[in-house]
Amino acid sequence: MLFWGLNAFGWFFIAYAVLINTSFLVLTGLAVADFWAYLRRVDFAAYDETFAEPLTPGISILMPAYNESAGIVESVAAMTALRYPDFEVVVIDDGSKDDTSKQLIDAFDMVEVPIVVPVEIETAGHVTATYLSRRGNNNVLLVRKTNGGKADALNVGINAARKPLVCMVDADSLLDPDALLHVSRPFADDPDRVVASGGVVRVANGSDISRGRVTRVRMPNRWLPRIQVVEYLRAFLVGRTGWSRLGGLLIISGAFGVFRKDVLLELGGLATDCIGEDAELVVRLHRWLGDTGRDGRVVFVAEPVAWTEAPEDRAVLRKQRRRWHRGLTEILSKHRGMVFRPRYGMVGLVSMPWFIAFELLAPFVEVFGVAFLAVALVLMSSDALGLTDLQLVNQDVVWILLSTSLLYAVVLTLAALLIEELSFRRYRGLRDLAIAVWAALEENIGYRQMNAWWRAGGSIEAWRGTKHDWGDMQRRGLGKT
Amino acid sequence: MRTLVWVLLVALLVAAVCLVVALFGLRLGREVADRRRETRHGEVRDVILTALMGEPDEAARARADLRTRSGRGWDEVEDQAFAMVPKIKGDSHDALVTLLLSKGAAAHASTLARSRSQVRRARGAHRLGALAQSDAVSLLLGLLHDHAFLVRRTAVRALGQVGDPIAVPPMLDAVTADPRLSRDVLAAIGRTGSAAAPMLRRELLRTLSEPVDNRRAALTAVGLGVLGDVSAAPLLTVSLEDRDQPGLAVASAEALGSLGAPESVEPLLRAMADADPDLRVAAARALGSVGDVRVAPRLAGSLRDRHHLTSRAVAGALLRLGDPGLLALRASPSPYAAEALAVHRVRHGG
Amino acid sequence: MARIVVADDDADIRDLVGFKLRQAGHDVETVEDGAAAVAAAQAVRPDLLILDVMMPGMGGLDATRALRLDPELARVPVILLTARAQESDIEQGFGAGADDYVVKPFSPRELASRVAAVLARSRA
Repeated sequence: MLFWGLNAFGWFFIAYAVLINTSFLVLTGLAVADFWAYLRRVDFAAYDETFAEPLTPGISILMPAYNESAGIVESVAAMTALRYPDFEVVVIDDGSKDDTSKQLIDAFDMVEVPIVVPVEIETAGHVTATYLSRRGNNNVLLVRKTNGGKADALNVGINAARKPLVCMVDADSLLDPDALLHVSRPFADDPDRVVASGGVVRVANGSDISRGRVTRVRMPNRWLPRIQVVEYLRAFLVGRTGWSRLGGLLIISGAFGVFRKDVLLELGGLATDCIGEDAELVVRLHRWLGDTGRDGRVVFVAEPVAWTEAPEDRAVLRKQRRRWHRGLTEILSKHRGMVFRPRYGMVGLVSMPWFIAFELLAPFVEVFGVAFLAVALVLMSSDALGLTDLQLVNQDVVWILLSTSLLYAVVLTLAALLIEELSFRRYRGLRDLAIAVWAALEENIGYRQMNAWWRAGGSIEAWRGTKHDWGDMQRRGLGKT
Repeated sequence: MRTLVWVLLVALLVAAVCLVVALFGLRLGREVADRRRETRHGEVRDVILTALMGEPDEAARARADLRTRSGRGWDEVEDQAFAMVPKIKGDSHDALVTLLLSKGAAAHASTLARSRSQVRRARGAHRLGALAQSDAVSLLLGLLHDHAFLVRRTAVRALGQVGDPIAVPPMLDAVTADPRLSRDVLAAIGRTGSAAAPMLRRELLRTLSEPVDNRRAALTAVGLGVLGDVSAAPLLTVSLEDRDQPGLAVASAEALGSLGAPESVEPLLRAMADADPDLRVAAARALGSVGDVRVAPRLAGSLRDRHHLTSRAVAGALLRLGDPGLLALRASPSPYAAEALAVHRVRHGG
Repeated sequence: MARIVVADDDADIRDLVGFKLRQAGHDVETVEDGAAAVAAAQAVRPDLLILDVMMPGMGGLDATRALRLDPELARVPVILLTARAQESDIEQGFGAGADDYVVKPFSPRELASRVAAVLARSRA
């Protein structure tokens, strides 16, 4: 009885690992098809011509800020230096207690100007003053409001935005100079249907950074960052490209997304009652598209556009991953009504169920899987040492489980590296490659299990409904695929 | 069971090892190739630049040198020359095109444009555009029906560079079939210049009598604005009244704005009373660009428009109307008037 | 003979402009963005700068403004390179303190004569 029980568990974990990894293999295949097309298009992209053309939609970049006086000037300066013909930077000071606003007013030579901020989305905080820069194209707008949280600040920003497209970006994201050109292109190509587009996020650690730009891309040497580089490549670059190709892109990253302003107004802006408000917005957008029967598209742009400083410290990483998974749990339970409903198309039929089965529940399965392996190994070694002769575990099951979960995962990560090598090729040199390959292996020993534990904790937090932690920690987006 | 374990392990290990080998091989191979290409690139670059801009005798020698190249040596020259052609004009541009043509680049590009690979077809179209030879038009028109989007887009761009107005109707057909080409077609029309205007006027006239495709109609109107074809103003004031084709009235208002024709003022003011807020926004902007200062008092009434964007557009238009506009803004209690005046002060001091 | 700093993110343009101006006997330094142009200007004290308007990082307009703030460089003439004739670009360019502009695609010969004219004016 016990024998069959243990081995049955083993087979369950094997089946789960095979399913999760094979589904990711399918996504990888889809991504390859997409990059193949990208490579062929790149020569004639003619981005420069976009500048002189009519019909290039204007973009308002929203930057919510709370007590960020240290870095805000540099972040905003980097934003104003993007290449795009028509854009403004809207900084929303969410009632900072420090001198965030003063820093901006001094650095950008701002004066108080009565910009009208119509209350099209109801907000908790209210606008106290608006300032406009006397510098450059006068395209830096500062909106001061009473405190209401990040989502509330973004909603005020949407109200204040004066352009037809709205770009939400984390204040500490490093954007490539052409980021807006890349991410706005889908809107210009298909203005009637594209409602949102998102960019890929990469890990900046280890690279050379100057004046808010990644100037030379390199692999970090330290343990956690180097693993996160390959993790991001696999999850964001390959995973999201695959989903996008399939037409089931559920989530685009909060670190860099562009939306049609009129659609955001229809949706009522961002939800202020959940953690991953940026991801929740996209899921709600899908829901709205399905409910209203509109033919809208959420697209993903694979060109490298946004870079982020990944946590180098275990405690910070733990907090981040718990938060991500808590956010994902809340979103999936809030919108569980979309599952298996044909009205929501690919998102309802495939993406949502996949996310629940292989993203939401994965940490739990993984934690139990590790426990199973530990028990099995103890029993096996005790048999082998002659201490016992229980023969409770089938050794073959253990080997199959190890290869289908760990080795298979390594192969997928290596495939992601190969895709990057064949498409964007942002890393150079054999040393960086050796680090990346090593990181692909070492991710599976310790890092993954640790991550699973944290993420499981995030879900439990969500289910227990503990109070939200509004700490200003990094919120980059949810789910890894 | 045992065999299954082995098969699995070995298969996955082999896959992993193959991937690692491929990764290292690729990185090493491509970096070596890059370095080689850079050296070759620099050498060829100097010869091309000398051929274009060097002292007469040096230039002649460099041109002779380039002409003797063949095979891969010439391919490198061709690649670099085609990268430069769209970036320059004047005698250097002409010298570059002459050099390319003398080595049969047009025929080569035509061959590429007929290739089975869509990348080659796109490259061929791109090159035909850069050479801008009018005998390429029929080939490029054929590519407008290509099944690959990339090829259609490049063909539209190339037709713009060639600038033959005969391509205008087929390009509009291509947009009707695929709206993603809108910007490209508009850019191509702009490049073709005033020669394209009669075609567009005829098209707009026909659209008014028998509607075909909303986007196509709108694009035709915008195109006339881009060309600055003042003689189209009367026609556009008619299409401004059109309510059967969504988007056409807005596009007509935009076009009238860029034309700046005085006779469009009254129709645009009438459009300010339309139920469609998008049209009111477009009409307000257009009135600002037309710049007839006498409309300021009448336009000022719309500062109280319920639609935020309209109020803001009206305030922006009044700013462009000089003193009468400023006067109207100062007299208005609308917050958008205050905003516009303040922004105006930030921009222009005072 | 003059010292000229050329900034453009497009290598083809840098090569074309650099070659033409060297041909005309000038001492040319080419850089890839506005910040590098300002740094180069502070280092070599050029007689003229040619700046592309749209460059990643610091563009030509911001670079011009930065130069105008530096008392030692405030009078160095600037010619802007701009993608096709965009009125607003040109207006802003003069607003920022540029002396002349050249529209891309450009004619190297015309650029050389503009350079000569601007240099003559600044020396007069």
